[in-house]
Amino acid sequence: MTDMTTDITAARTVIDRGTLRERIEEPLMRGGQIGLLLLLALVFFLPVLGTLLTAVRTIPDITQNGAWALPSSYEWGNLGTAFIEMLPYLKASVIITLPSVAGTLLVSMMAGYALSRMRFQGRIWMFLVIVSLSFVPIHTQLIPVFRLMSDLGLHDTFISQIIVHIMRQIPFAVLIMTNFFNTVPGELREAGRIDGASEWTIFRRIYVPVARPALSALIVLEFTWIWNDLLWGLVLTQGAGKKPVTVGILSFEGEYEIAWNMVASGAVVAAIPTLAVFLAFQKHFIRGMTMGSVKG
Amino acid sequence: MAHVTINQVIKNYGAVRAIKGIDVGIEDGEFVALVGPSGCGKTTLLRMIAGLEDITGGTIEIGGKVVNGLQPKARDIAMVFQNYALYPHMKVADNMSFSMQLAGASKAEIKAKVEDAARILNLEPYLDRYPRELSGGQRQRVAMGRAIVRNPKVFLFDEPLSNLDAKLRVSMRAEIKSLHQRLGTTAVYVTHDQIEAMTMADKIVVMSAGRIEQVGTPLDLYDEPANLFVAAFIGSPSMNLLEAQVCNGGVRFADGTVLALTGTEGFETGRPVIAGIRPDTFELAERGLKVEVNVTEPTGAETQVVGQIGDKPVTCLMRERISGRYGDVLHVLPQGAVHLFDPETSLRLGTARAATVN
Repeated sequence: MTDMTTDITAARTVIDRGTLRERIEEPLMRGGQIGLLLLLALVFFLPVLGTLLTAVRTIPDITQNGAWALPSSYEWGNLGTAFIEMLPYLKASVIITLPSVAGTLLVSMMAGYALSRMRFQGRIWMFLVIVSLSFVPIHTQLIPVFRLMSDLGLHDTFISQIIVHIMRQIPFAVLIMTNFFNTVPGELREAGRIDGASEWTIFRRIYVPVARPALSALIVLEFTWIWNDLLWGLVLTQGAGKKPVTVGILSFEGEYEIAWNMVASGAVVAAIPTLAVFLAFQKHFIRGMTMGSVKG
Repeated sequence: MAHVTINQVIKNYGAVRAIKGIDVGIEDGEFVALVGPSGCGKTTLLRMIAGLEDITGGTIEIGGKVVNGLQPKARDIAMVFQNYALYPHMKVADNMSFSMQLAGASKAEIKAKVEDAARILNLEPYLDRYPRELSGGQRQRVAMGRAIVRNPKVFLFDEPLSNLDAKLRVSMRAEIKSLHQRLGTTAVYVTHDQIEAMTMADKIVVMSAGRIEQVGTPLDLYDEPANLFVAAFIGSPSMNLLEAQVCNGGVRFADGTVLALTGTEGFETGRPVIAGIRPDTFELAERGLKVEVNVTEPTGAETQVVGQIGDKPVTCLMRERISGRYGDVLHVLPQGAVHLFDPETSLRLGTARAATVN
């Protein structure tokens, strides 16, 4: 009898410890995870917050109260001034970015379709070579490309920047488009052939529309990367006329002092187009996810 | 509408010969099924007719014209794919009219033809929908509508019902067959399901490993299979194939049981044969073959008894409701054809019948 009762109490104690551990450990773990995520979010957001705040401060405010103090007065006019002063640079960025994005998409879509759907000798090698081009560090390209553009007589032009941007984005874009077209069933092309479409028609009227989610994602990514590029804008240009907006922000840096509030305002103004592009395209690549052309 | 002739067609993939010299003649308006296990080459043959695969050797003629070098669009064929292959960004009406748009037909023509096909297939309420808004069966009908609109010489079907659930498959089978009877267009239908082939086709081509095993009407194949492969492939449940030796007045099984047969007189005693007995020919008999039951599977209309004769597995399909369990014993006799095959060549030797037991 005594054996039985000790067994029962032993069992009860084991159960109790279990739930006790669950009751304390689990919420602690969840709390810890949430805390860590909040910390990470803060780390990522703080620079943005800092920039936004700095943009609306005055220079005396910054010099006196340091980099992280809250604005003593809110100078919203700074943003307006930055916008007007950067207008030529904004225009230049548009002239550089839009053709670059369009050119990258055109080339990568056609390459992706060919590498994915058409059978020819050396297909896999070509794909590997194109993708491996992305491993070339940008630093090794700066001087040779500068010299190439100078030799071609394209120093300080828009076209040189456009060519370089397209060239640098092709590996990634081709990778994305090839892999995407690989997920589109080959029977679509065969059905198109039987319906009487030529290869180009199949590409233009069937595969390109179907690729809308991948295209939307690529547009957002390419636009952001090319718009935000600083290095090539610096290296390939000379006067103020062809400099993109990223380089334009540097114009707020004088020889003896830097107008941090204008630099910050410039950065805010420069960031708005990429944000707009993202918002415009995000619903496209989410909507395109439901496809019912084939089983499953 | 045209006849299709396949002459000594060979297909190589590199060093591998996938199709080893095939001859098939398909009459104008016939519904021909290409059946066989996975990898037998039936889909490859269909794709060669369509023009989606190159022909390594031999010729294929459609309507008397050799089409070996022609692109698919020039062959005047239409194909229905296993996974429908509908254009996801186009509405049903556009999917069906795409080929006509490419050919430059007028809007009025397109509208008329699409509505015609939609009426035949009961797709009228769905013309403005996208494929993703349709069920599997509806999508398959759109795929067929797309083929009908082309008004081709030959319809090609590549396992179109494989992706549908069982009940839908049964109803679509009847729909396709009645569609064929209504339109009268030559049709080549690939399937691995022999029941589909049996129920729908005018003629069946049984293939295995790149060769033709037998060509004939469904009942021809059922009643007189030319070899062991066709015997086992056609008919569900499969024919029982039992090793035996010819003896005086019948065949003797390995465990000594003798099955009295008429029709074995022409064979020498002791000759090894394989006796093929379809499960549904077995009837209960007082003095018959002894079957030890393993399981009984009642389907309502029949009972499938899985058991053994001696040590050989056997399946019997009985009309009666039999509630046997493991270990029970039944006595059965085949009331119908007993097919005899040569164990070495696999070829059919002849048909015998159970002798009436006195």
